Parts: sequence; structure tokens; C-alpha cells
Amino acid sequence: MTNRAADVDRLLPLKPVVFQILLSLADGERHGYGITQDIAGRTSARMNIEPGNLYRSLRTMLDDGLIEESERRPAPDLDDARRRYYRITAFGRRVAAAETARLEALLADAKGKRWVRTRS
Amino acid sequence: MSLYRLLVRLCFPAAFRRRFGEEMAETFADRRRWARRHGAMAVVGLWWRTVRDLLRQGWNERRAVQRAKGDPLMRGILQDARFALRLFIRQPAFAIAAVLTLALGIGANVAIFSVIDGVMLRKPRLPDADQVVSVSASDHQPLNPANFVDLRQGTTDVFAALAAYEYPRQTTLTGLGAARFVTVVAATPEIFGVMGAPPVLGRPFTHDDAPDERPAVVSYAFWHGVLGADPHAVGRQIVLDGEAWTVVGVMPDGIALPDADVWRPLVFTPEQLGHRNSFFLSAYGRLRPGATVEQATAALTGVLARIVRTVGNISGHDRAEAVRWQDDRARGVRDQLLFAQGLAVLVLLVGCANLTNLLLARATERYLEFSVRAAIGAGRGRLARQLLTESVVLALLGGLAGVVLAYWIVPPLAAAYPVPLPNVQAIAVNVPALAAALACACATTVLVGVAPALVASRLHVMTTLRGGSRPTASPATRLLRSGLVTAEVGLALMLLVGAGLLVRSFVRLTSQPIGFSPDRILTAEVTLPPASYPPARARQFYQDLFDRLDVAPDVVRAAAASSLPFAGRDAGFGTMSVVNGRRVSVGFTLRIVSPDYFATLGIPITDGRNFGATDTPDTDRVAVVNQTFAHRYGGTRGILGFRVRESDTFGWITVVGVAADTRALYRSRPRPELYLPVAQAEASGMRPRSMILLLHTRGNVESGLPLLQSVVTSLDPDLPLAHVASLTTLMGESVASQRFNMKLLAAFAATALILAALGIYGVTSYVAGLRSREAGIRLALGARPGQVKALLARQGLRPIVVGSAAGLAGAWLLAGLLKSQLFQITAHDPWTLASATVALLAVGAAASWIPARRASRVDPAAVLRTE
Repeated sequence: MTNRAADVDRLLPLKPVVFQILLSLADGERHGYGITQDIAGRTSARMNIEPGNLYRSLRTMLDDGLIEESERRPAPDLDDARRRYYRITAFGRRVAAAETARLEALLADAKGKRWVRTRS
Repeated sequence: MSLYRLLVRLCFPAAFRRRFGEEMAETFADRRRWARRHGAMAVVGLWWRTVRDLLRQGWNERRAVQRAKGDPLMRGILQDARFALRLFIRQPAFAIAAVLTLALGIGANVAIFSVIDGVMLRKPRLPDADQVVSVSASDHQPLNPANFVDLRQGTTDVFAALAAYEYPRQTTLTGLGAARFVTVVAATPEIFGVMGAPPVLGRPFTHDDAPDERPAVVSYAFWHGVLGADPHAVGRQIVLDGEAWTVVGVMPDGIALPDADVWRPLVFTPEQLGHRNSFFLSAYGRLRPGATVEQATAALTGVLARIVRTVGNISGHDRAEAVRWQDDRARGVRDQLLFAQGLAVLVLLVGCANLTNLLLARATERYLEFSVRAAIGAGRGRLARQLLTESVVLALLGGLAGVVLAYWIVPPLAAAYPVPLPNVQAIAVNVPALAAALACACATTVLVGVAPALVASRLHVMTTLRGGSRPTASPATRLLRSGLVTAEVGLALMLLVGAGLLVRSFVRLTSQPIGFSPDRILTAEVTLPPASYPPARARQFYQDLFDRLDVAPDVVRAAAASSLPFAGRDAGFGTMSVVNGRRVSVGFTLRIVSPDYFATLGIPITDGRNFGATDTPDTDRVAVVNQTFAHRYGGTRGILGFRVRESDTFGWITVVGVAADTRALYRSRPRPELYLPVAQAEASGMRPRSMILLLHTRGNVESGLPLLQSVVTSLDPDLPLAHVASLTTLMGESVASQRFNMKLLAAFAATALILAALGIYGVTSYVAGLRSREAGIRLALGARPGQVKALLARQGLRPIVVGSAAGLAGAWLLAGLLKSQLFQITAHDPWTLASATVALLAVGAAASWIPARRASRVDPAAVLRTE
């Protein structure tokens, strides 16, 4: 799990699901269902992630070192012990930032073509 | 909840499940709680999304794992497949034999399926083609103009459009490059309503078009090929048989009903509408939405019944019927194709039996290998899977080779097909055909793969390892193997009997006496356009033609006829009234001939006289009839002097001669025929549109063509010759269908026989191999080689005898299927059954004798040393 720039580039562009999960974890740790809820909320339910898809994505993200499992289990009485929480790693933040920069560059190109309606 | 866990278990590899299974179930539970709050539909939607998600992601995960380090199941299967391929490369003879066997079977099936798919299953291109019906009097008899008009008016509640047309004609197109024939059909304007698609250019003709303006609609192919896809084609003139027609529309690509290059308006004359005794119209209709074929038939029959009540039954038909057009066009070929497909399936079955046998033999030979593998830890399931994978690889290779084979076979098969195939351009190996190939391959795998896998899973490891020598197969395996040979032999015998029946039937058919001698006769059709050939000029044309041909050194004799026996299209027939004291209705084939017709074909005049130069338009009109006509209508008083006349339009014709009977086809009995001299045809009101020229050549037939061509061109350079063929070729074409079936069945029977021989050989040599030790000991103890040979050969012969008996029984039962194709021979012809059985037994005996002989030649000393 090295954090060299080449590793960042290797992962770009990110799949939309992966980028959404990173966004969800940017503010704090979440468990699986929490992640899907957060994404559904942010995208006005346009992106509904099924468990199979979610956990396969989490598996690759864990393998790539974008996220890691958290040891913390908040309030045992409220929560099922089987639930695991995930948090973003420093490498994950770098990748998310790089993806954001990539998307920004893309967006700038699109704006140059006047495809984007800008409110002024 | 347990269902979700079960699905996860089915879809995902174990490592993933251990890591995330509980969490996934938990997350799913959360989602379900949410869904339940939103009602039943939300729950259904959730399950739908979930199942899709699990299947897709599970598959992706397995593939990802397999790529990374190898999922045991996937890796195992790929390993098995690689191993199988290596094995096949090491023993190419076996692999090639197996793949070829399967390729033959699968290729034949795919090829024939492609044709069936193209002809019967594919939707034709007419819009809503299932509403298009062809309409005729009962039994496909033609309609009469007056009847048609009544039918059209009386059935508007079921038909959106009902159109009549005359049989499409070859018409000479001039003025656009070299003169050539195009197919022209005269149809009533409703035909465009039946086709159901508007022209791509211009408009259709309608009832409002004045007939003398000669509007014509052309096909897309004609527009492309003849008019050069001219965007301004509408308004152009085309010259057909010397008459100028104006193009008013161009039909879309592929929309042509009936199939033609040019449609012109069919207009009935008041005379045609005045009487109801000439029948020459065919019809197509388009049903109104919701109307059924049965309703259409009922409505048509109702109108026809009304006509019969008012004017009497002239045609002999009191029923009319509508037949779905798609069924109608496939009707002629359906039985043929299903017959061929049935044969192909039989061959595939024989091939499968053979392959199973080969694989079983190999499985037994590989006992040692399997025992070792089992001893070092391979489970039975693992070994069975190995063999099953080998079968799958074989089947897939065979299927692939079969598809390649089918690609080769299909175009010539479709082209060589005896019955003209509708929709022939749509026939190709395509996705459904590939699916059929895959289905064949899968079926094959199940058929050939399961038995060896079962045998391998019943392995007695210790026995084999301890013994170290070749094991003997279990009784069950041996029974299975001889059972397979029995089945092969039975199937092969059934095919042999079928082929034998068709061959004998064909020989009988083609050795029928036909009543004329067809050798060295060249035939070609010539059409004199009525516009440029008024009667006198037409007579002069034939006069000049025969004058020039008769003096040519290579020509024995030349003649012309409006129709010929075996020429495919039958002559116009009429219902005439013969009046000789009493009125009789007669039906007959009408042929208009030149005087030399009888001499050219070697037909003797048995009574009275032939036509001669004295029979001109200005003399009394005469006719010659055949013997059947004379017997049927002349009775005891003889036919000479009979006077005949058709309806009221034409004058009297006197019978002056009787010619010997000829057959119109091998199959048909001689029918009454009436010949008119070509010189008087015009005066009799029966000018034929085209004549077939007959040239009896001295040398080979082909030498006549350039001569005929040059003579015709010297008389009129705008006259093309059509349908050039020798008379023997025409006769061959008339039985093309029978010959095709015979060849197909013979080829399949030969394949099955070879496969069965291979199967017998395989089993006998296997048994002989197993018992070679026994043979050696017997020889050492004083048995004569002949005795040993007989002992071993008997082993191989038993399944042959049993199989033959079963095959005979099967042939006896299934022979009924062939009945319709047989001519003057019963489906249970003892001679055929006996000779097919003898042939099979002989081949079987040879195939089992060779390995038996080899085994009986073992050196006893060598055998005893190894003990």
C-alpha cells in the first residue's frame, strides 16, 4: 500500500460508485447501509447502490488502500456488533482529490464548448 | 432472510462471503425494512433489483478472483479444458475422428435448419404479412373474371383489399440495352393494397387510370438494375413486347407480390365478364384487422355458392378458400425440409452413439491414469468432471466445425434445392442457426459425455492399481457399449432401407414409357410480341425459321409447340363442347404444334393423318387428338370426323388424326390431348404467346444452340431465346425433387453405415484386445486360429444381429413416412429390406472380422511369457 503518484494515476478515472463512496466517507466513518443511505440522499435517490455492488466496491477499495476498516463501534446498545465501519485513508483522500481535479478539468473543457448553462 | 443468504451463497465465492456475507445480509435487512414501509410493490422491486445485483456482481467477483489467483471451480474447469486440448493434440487421430463425426452431424443439422429458418420461420417483408392470404377456388384452382368481381364485391367486410392477377409472364423488354426477358404481371389495382406499402417513388396505378395510357409500376430490383436507380424514373417509358408503357411508380425493396419486375393493370373485357367458363385468375387478399382466415373462406364460399345457384356450376368448384400466404409459399417445401431435418437428426444420433462408444473405450483405457489420480486424492466427482469437460470441448469443437461446414453447405444447398425456395435470398447461417448449433452441441455433450463420466466415477482404485494390468470393463459398461452399437446399427439400417426404397422408386419412375424419344432434342422458347407480329408476319416467321433450319446440315428436324411434355408449365386446358350429334363437355391439354412436331419427337400417328402444308388459315380447321382422347370421347365409332368447338366465339374444328399417347410427366397417366396446327391457331382464336422451338440435332445437343441462335437473330435481332435446355435436361428437372431426396438419403445412409462400421470395429477390437490373453492361452492349449477367430467375431456380431432386427422393425414402422415419395413400390418392399439387411450384415461382419483375425494371430508364447 504505497502512496506514490503513479498509484493515484493508476486508479483514475474512478468508477462513479467508488467516487460516491469516498465522498460519503469524507465527513466521517459509516457502515455499509449508512453509505448507501448517504449516497441516495445526496443524489436524490438517482443512485441506489445494491448490497452486492456496494460490498464488491468496498472490497476493491480496501484492496487498493482507498479506505480501511475502523476499529470503533459506537454505542453497542444501538448497533449490531456485526456491523463494520469504514473510513477513508490518506491515500483515498489524495485519489479523491485527483479525481476531483480531473473532473474539474473536464468540466472546464465542457464549459468552453458552451454545453454548461451557467447562471449569471 | 435465509433466501438472501442462500442467493449470496450461490453467487459469491467463499472468501468474499466470509468477509462480507453477514454485512450484506444486514444491509439487505435494512433495505427491506425500508421497502416494507412503502408497500408490496416496493418489496417486489427490491427483490428484482437484488437478484439482478447478486447475479451480476457475483459473476464479476468470481471473474475478478479468477483473474487474480484462480477461483477453484473456474480454474478447475479451465484446467480440465486445457488438459483435454493437450490430450487431443497428443492423440490427434481420435480427436479428428470425433470432431469430424460431430461436425458432420451438427453441420447437416445447422445447414438444414438455416434453410428451414429462412423459408418457414422468417417473417416475409410485407407489412403485417400474416393478414395476407392467397385466394383460389378449392384445390388451388384458378378463378374466373366474373366470379372474381362478385367475390370482391361480396367480401368487403372481411377483406381490406382483394386483387386478381394473371400468372406472371416473361415479356421481352427492348430499348434499354440488349433485348431481355422481364417478368410482368397483370393485376387489378387492389394488389397494392394487399402489398400494404406505398411506392417509394411515384404512385400505384388505380381504377381511374385509363388502360390505353398503359401505366406500369416497377419493382425496386427493376428500378435499380434496369433503370439505373434513376430518381426521375417516374414518367419514363419502357417497351414491353413492342408496346410502350409509362412508369408511374417504384415499389420498395423486397415488396413484390406476386414476385415480378413490372405490374400492369389487369382490365377485364366485357366479353370476359359476360361468361363464366374460362378460369385463369389467381388472387391475393389482405384481411381486415381482426378477420380470420376461416371467416374469409366462409365469406368467399358463400359468394361462390350464390353464383352456382344462379348460373349453375360450370367450373366444378363450389368452394373457394383463403390460405395464409406464408403457409402457401412454404407449403411445397415444408415436407421436403422436415424430411431432410429428420434425416439430419438421425445422422447426428448415430454420430453421438459412435462418439459415446469411442469415449467409453478411452475411459476404460485410462483406468490406470484415473486410478493413479484417485489414489493421490482426486475425488470421483473431480474425475467425472474431467471427462465431462472433455466431452464439452469436443462438442464445442465439433459445433464450431459444423458451423463452418454449414457455411459451406448452405448456399449450394439452397441453390440446388429441387423446389424453388421462397425467400431464397434470406437463407444464410445466422444467429438462430448458431443457436441451433449450440443446442446441438449441448445435446451432444449430454448424450456422449454422461455415460463415460458415470463409468469413471465407479472406479475400483485398488483393484486396478494392484492388478497393474488392463482392467476388464464392468458388465454394465459392456452392455452399454454393445447397446450403443445395436442402436447405431438399427439407425443405419433404417436409413439404408429408406435410401434403397427411394433408389428403387426412382429407377421405376424414370423407366416409365413416356411415348416419345427425347434424345438429342434442344428446346428454346421464343416469344413473338403481338404488337410487331400480326398473324401473317408470325406465320411467315415460323415458315422462314423452319425453311432455314431444315436445310442446316446438323439438324435432323425442327418443330415448334406451344407446350411440351416435361417442360414444367402445362398447356392451357379448356372445357370445350364436342358436338357430334350430342353435346359433351371435355377437358384436355391443348398443344399448338407445327406439322413436324410428331416426327421430331418420334410420336407415331396411329390413325388418320398428320397436319400438312395444306392446312392453312383459309382451309377447314383441323385437329389431331391423342389416343386417350379418342378412347374417352370417340367410343366405338372412332374419333375421326368429330367436330369440336369452344364456346360460341370460335368456329368448328374437325379431328383428322390420332397420335400415340405421351406422358406429361413420369408420374402422370396420359391425359386427353388436342393438337392444333400452328398455321390455324390464330384463326381458331388461340394464338400462343410464346412457342417452344424443338431441334433434333445430328451431333450432340449443345451444337444446336449457336445455330438456332444465329437463325433466329438473322430473322429478328430483337428476339431473345429463353429457357434453353435439352429435353433430357427438362425431364431430369421434372424429377429433381425425387433425385434430391434420394441423394440426400443415400448420403446420410452412407455416413451412418460408415459410422456404424467404425463403431462395430471399435467394439470388436476392444473386446479382442481384452481377450487377447485368453486367445493366446486357447491357442497354446491347441485351439485352431479359426475357432478363436470365430469366438471373437461372434462377440462383435451379436449387437449387429440384434441391431439389424431392431432396425428392420423400425424401418417397417417408419416406412409410412416415405409412402408419399414412393412410386409403384410399397414401403415394405421385401427386396429392399432384404438387400439393405444383407449389405449391413456384410459390412458389420467385415468390421468385426478384421480385429478378430488380428487377435487370433497373437503369439501364444509371448502371451504366456507375460503371465
